[in-house]
Order: sequence, then structure tokens, then C-alpha cells
Amino acid sequence: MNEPTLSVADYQQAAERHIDQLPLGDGLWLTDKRRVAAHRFRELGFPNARQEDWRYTSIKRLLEKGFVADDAQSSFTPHSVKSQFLSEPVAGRLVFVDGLFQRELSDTDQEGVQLSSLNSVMAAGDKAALKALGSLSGIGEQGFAALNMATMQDGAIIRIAAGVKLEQPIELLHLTSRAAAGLSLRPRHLIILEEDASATLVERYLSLDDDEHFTNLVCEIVLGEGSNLHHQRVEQENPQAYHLSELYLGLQAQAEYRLVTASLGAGWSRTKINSRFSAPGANCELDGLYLAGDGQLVDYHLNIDHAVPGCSSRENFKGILTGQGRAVFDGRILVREQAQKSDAHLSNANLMLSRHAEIDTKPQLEILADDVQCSHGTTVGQLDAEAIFYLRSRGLNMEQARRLLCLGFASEILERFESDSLREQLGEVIRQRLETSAHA
Amino acid sequence: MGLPDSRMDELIQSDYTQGFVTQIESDTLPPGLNEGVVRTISARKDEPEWMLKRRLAAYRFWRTMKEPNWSSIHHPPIDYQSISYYSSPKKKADLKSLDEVDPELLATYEKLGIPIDEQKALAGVAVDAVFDSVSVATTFRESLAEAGVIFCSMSEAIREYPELIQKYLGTVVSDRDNFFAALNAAVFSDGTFVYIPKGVRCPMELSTYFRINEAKTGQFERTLIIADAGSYVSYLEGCTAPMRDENQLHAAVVELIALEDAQIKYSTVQNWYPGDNEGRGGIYNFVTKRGDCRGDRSHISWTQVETGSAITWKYPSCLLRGKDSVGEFYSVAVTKGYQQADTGTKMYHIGKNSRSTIVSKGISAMHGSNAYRGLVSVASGAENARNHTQCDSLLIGDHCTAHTFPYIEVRNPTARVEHEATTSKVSEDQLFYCRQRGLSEEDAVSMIINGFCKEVFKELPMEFAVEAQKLLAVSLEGAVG
Repeated sequence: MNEPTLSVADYQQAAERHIDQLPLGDGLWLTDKRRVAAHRFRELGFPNARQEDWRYTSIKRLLEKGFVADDAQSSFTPHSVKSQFLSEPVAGRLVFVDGLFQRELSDTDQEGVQLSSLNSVMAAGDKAALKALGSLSGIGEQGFAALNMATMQDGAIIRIAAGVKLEQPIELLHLTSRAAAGLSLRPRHLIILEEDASATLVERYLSLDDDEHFTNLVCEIVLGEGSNLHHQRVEQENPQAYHLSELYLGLQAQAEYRLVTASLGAGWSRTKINSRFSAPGANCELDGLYLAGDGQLVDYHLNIDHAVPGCSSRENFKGILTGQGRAVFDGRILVREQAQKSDAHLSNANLMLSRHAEIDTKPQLEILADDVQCSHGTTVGQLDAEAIFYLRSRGLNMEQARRLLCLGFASEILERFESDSLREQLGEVIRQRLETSAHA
Repeated sequence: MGLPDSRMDELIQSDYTQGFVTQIESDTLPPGLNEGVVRTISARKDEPEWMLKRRLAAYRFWRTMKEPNWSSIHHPPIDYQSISYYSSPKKKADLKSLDEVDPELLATYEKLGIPIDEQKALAGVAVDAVFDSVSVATTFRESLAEAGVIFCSMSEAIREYPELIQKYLGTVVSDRDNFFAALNAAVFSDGTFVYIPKGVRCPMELSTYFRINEAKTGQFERTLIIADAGSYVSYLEGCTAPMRDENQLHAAVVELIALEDAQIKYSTVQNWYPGDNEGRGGIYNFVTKRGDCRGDRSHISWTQVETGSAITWKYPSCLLRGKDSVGEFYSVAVTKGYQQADTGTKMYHIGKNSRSTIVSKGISAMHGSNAYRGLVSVASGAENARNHTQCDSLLIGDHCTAHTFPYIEVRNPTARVEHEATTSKVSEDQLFYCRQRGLSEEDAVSMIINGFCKEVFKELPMEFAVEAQKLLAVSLEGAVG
């Protein structure tokens, strides 16, 4: 096999160069933070299989590609972007192509809502908005997150003012074009819901072309007291893409966070969700669906930290494996000593449809308090032969029966996507994927 | 709302009733470990040259290894040079009957409630009592010999059955398997060897009581059980140790081999000194136990009740290599005081139609820390492999912890693997219900705990099941009942 093209030092030097080129504004303190992050990255290096968190997920190929952190000279037709928009009306829209904000394609006028790009906020030296940057993620506990902090290029800053309740969703669309080939994109999002705010966010990662690139994303979500966010997330980049998402959630008292996420694309994708309760009464629900087909690796890591009493969390992740697909699932629930009356339940079900697929799943419970209700469950199995027989006796052929059952398996998660068009579209993608895997 | 804390604490602090030191003259090597010590051990046991070579190779390899640190247990670093690696009661001789055994030794067993002669007469259990590191009393040899069963100490087996030892020893847990297994391979003092010939159903339950008696003596037991084709054996291992203020290291290795259609049932009740309520002293129990279902339709089941030791660190595992082979793991682990347990199992599904069941019950009280760590692995050739895992944790008091770390690795699409785990405290509704029926709080909790562990206890041979229930009641006296 090939050696990694770039060393940790090369990446760090590239990061330092990137920082040096930043326009000097009032954001000096942020520049310092980036330098610290670059240094931290040098210390941490890239993760390796000896680290428990990366035991099953190799980054060898990713490093061999030697994706460089640079800005792309994107060329795309507005139409190609617009055709990807959600079909229903939205309360606001932020569009990024190759990691950079596209003002003309975005829609940022909404009362009580700040919808802006990280670059513009940094250029304006808006310290108030940037204060929260890194408040949940820190400088980065692993190399990629630190590298993101050092070299973040742009991203969404969404702030919903206290008491504002949005009926329509906010769309956050991230597209990659041909110009991103060989690049490492470093988006960084910050989403803040103030007290009693309520919103729906639809966040999607799509490819306009099928070139190799690496998306190294960090997203921080700060939920104020009594706020409510329904987060719908789709990762559907092209099969050559590498995608790493690191989500950090902070929930204040009575805050409610509901996530539904689908990982359908990218050859290599990993999503880590860190959820931390910081005051009682908050609730967090995560639902996820992943499809791993030929040449795909899908990795989900959940880290649910019950740091305070009286919070509840529920996680339900389902996976379908076909061809030579590989899936990794790690769901950790930590209930700290003082977190009495915690309620946490996690479930992970996997459907293994191919001889060459592999699933490595590891739910974990770490319980340090006693008055809790916690559980987790994992299954790996196949389609029920009797159910197939039943459908076939009704005249469906083998493939139709299989597909129908798989869709039924997936629908529990898909139903949590509120947008009809999106749900239908995802259903269609899954149907097609199952069809190609059956013929493969 | 449960018991008030003060009452709870008072009740929890039941003393270790098996804590006493027997004064017996013993022949102990000075602390320290080097090649000389390994040679001495081998020489004292009149071992053949090939055994010494093996020990030395294991020792040399061990020196290149690092102590593992991945588990959730914590302890001060162990100074391997401050441990004495060999201790044997001086009055060692070929004893023909129990009358020849040191009366003081027999008295020790009686205090523990294991009167050998009584068991001999009543229970029909052959007891190979290991007092420190050398077997001093072996009973029922004749009737076992009649059936062709070999049941003897490991040192004897090395001398008498070298071909079996050379063929099987270290084939399940290699001398380089892990840090503690390598240490054991280098310095193991003694242990038990069992061979059940083809088609023989062992006429009685075999049992060894381990005792650690000599202060500062690490105990390095080595057990090897071979069940030849079509045979059956049930083996009981029970442990108690006297009260002691210094940590004692125990690094045993147990290997089970089941050939075609053979079944091995291995049951453990472990009640070594857990340290006092401030977390001082207690046994470090770092054990490697592994069973190899080598033949088709072979069956190995591990049942364990772990109430003792300051630290328990063991994962009785099954290599399910044969077609239709079955692996089982039933465990109750109790931690109180400052006890730590990191235990679980590994089920490697390699053969077609292999099945495994895991039932693990963890109970934590006071500052106890209890972790289930397990692996279910299904290799690509293991058609129709089946696993069901159930791990439940019960928490008593708000300073204890319970962790569950199951690893599931599946590479075959016909596999069905299920894992479930729950963690909660004794339900107040259940308590209320029992109290309302006139049960005292203690009895109510005891009843609930026993119900919680029932699935595991019912797997134990009857005498053991009774002992285990008593042990649990004593261990958790007051913590819960």
C-alpha cells in the first residue's frame, strides 16, 4: 500500500500558512485560537486503530489521498444548485458550495433570526456571535476536530432569538462541485437557539459531481432554556467522497433536541454526535438510518453525556448492509454520579443482506448514579424468511419482497423526516440502492 | 424510599466470615522473579526438561510484555519483584487417607464449611483441595480411575501423563496470550488436570477448592480439562481466602478442550478476600479462562458467581470451532466496598450453526464498580450462528457504578445476534409490594436480588446453587438484605 502523502507536520504547516493568510481584523483572538488548534493538532496527530474510538474505522486510505486544505474556484450553474433545494417553503436558506457561502443563492431575511456565514461574521469581528465558537467542542479532542478549528473555511452561523418560533424549516445546504476534487473542505457551523426558541433545521450534504474530496465538518448546537430544535440531516455525497461530521450539542434546562439523520452517501463516512446535558429537564432524541453498500464504510459514534439529573435521551439507529458494505456503530451512554433520575435508552438494529458485508457494533453503558433507568439493545440479523414467504405467496417476486421489507425496516426512521418531499426522495434513493445491490 | 443511608451502611458492613489465617509451616521462596526462580519452581516439582524450557520461554516473553491498562479497573502498580512465587505446605507427602492430612488444615476447611470427609461420604464429590500451591489431598481417585477419568494435580500430570500435557497444554491459551497468561505459564505452581476418556460420563462432579493462605504469595493456578469425544464432565471451582491486609495477586489460567460431542460444565464460586471497607487489601484476581469447542456438537458452559476479590478481571471465553457447537456464559458478579469487577465473556463463532448464550448479572453496592465487557464475533464461515446476550445491572446506593461494554462483530449474513442490557436500581414498587405483604425490608430486597440472579443460579449444580445463594445473601447483607 501507499504511504500517506503528507505527514502530520505537512498538514500543520499548511494550517499555519492558512492562518497567516487570514485577513487581519478584530478577530485576532480567534487567530490565536486557531494557532493553538494547529499546535494541538500537531500534538494529537491523526487517530489510529489503537485508539478505542477508531478501532474499526481506518483512515489509511483517507490519508493516502492527501487531501489539501484549500479554497476551490468553484464553477457551477445556479440552476444545478437550485434544483437541489427543498421543494417546500423555508424560513431561510444558507447555501454552501465547496465549503464557501453563496450569498446570491441564500435567503437570509427572517425576523428574529440571524442567518449568516462564518466568514462574514469573522470579517465583521462580531465577537458576540463568535464567543460561542468552540464552547462545546473545545479546541478539538482528536486530530481532525483540531484541524478543523485551525483551518475552518466558512460555515453557517444561525442564531434564533429568544421566544421566536419558526413554523417553516431553515435549510442548510452543502454542495460539492468538480472544483473540490482533491480538497479537504472544512465547514464549521454554529447554531444557537435562545430561550424558548423553536425551529426546524434541514441540513444536507450533496455532491454535484463525483470527484474525490474530504469534508471535515464540526457543528456546534447550543440550545437555550426551553428551546426546541428538530434537526433533519442527510449525508448523501458521491461514492468517492470522504465525510467526517462531528456534532456537539449542549442542552440547557427543558431544552429539547430531536435529530433524524440518514447516511446514504460517501465511500467513507463517520458521524460523531456528542450530546451534553447541562441542566435538568432536557430531552434528546436521536434517530438514524445508514446504508452501507459496496465499497462503503459508514460509522456512527454517539456519546450521550448525562451530566446532570433528570434528563432523558433516546437513541434509535438502524442500518442496512449490502454488497461489501461495512458499518461501525458505537453508542455510549454515560450517566455521571450526580445525574440521578436519568432515563436513557439506546437501540441499534442491523440488517445484513450480504455475505461480504461486515458490522461492528458496540453499545456502551457507563452508569455512575443509581436512580436511573438505562438500557441498550443491539441486533444483527436478516429479513424474516416467513415474511418473505408471505409476500411471495401474494405474488411478489423475491426482489420485490426483499425490497419491501427493507423499506419497512427503514421507514421507522424515515418517517421522522417531516418534509414530505425529502422523505419521498430518501425512500426513492434507498429503493434504488437496494435494487442495484440486488443485481450486483 | 428504600433504606435510610445510615441503616444501609450498617447493614452493608458484614464481615468476611471466612477470614482467618491458619498456622502451618510452609516452604516459601523469597520474593522476586528471575530465571533462577523459574528454574527452582520447576526443580521443586521434579519437572522434565521440556517443561522447564517452556517456562523459561514464557518468562522471557513475559519480560517483553507490558501490563494491560485498557480495562476500567484501577489499582496501584504491582511490584512483581515483591511477590513470592512459590509456597507449599511443608508436610508434603503421598497421603493415602484423610487421616494423614495435617489436622490443622482439615480444621481450616471445616471452618469454611467444606468438611472433606463429609463431602466424601455424603455428597459424592471428589475434592482435590488445593491448599496454597500444592495439592495435598485428593479423594475418590479410585472410583474415578475405574471410569478411566484422570483427575490429578497438574504437577502430577506433567510427570505421569506428559504426552497429554504436551499435546494440549497451552493450545487454548498460549504461553504468549496475554501478560498474565505469560506470567502464569512461567511460574504456575500447580493446579488441576482432568481428562475424560471417549464416551465417558464422569460419574461425579469434580471439585477443587482453592485457598490462598500464605501471606505475600501469588497463586498461579493452571487448570486443564480435556473432554474427549462424547464425554461429559461437570467441574466445580470454589474459592475462599483468609483475611489479609496486603494485596495478593492471583493470575490463573484455565483451559478447557471439548472434542466431538463432548460437554464441559465449569462452575465457579469465587469468594476471595475483597479488602476491607476502605478498600485496603484484597485479592487481585486476573484470570484467563478459555474453552475450546474443538469438535462438532461440543458444548462448553461457564457459570460463575463472583462475590470476592478486590479486583476481578476475567473473561471466560469460548472458541466455537466445531459445527453445531454451543457456548454458554452465566455470571453473577457482586461488588461492594471498593471492589472492582471487569468481567464478561468472548464468544468466537467459527463453526457452522454454532450457538451461544450470555447472561450476565452485575450487582454494585457502596463504592463497588462492576463492568461487563464482552465480545461476540461471527466469522464469515459461521453459517447460521446464533447469539443472545442479556446483561443486567442492579445498583444499590449512589456511589457505585455499572458499565456495559459489549462488542459485536459480524461477518456473516446468516448470523443472528442480539444484545440487551439494562441498568436500574431495586424497584421501589417491588419493594413496596413485598413490604406490604409483611416482609421485612431486608428479606424483601434479598428476595428481589435472588430473583434477579435466578437465571444464573439455576445453571449451577445443586450444592453450589445453595452455597451461592447463601454467599450472595452474606455478601450483600444489609446492602440489600
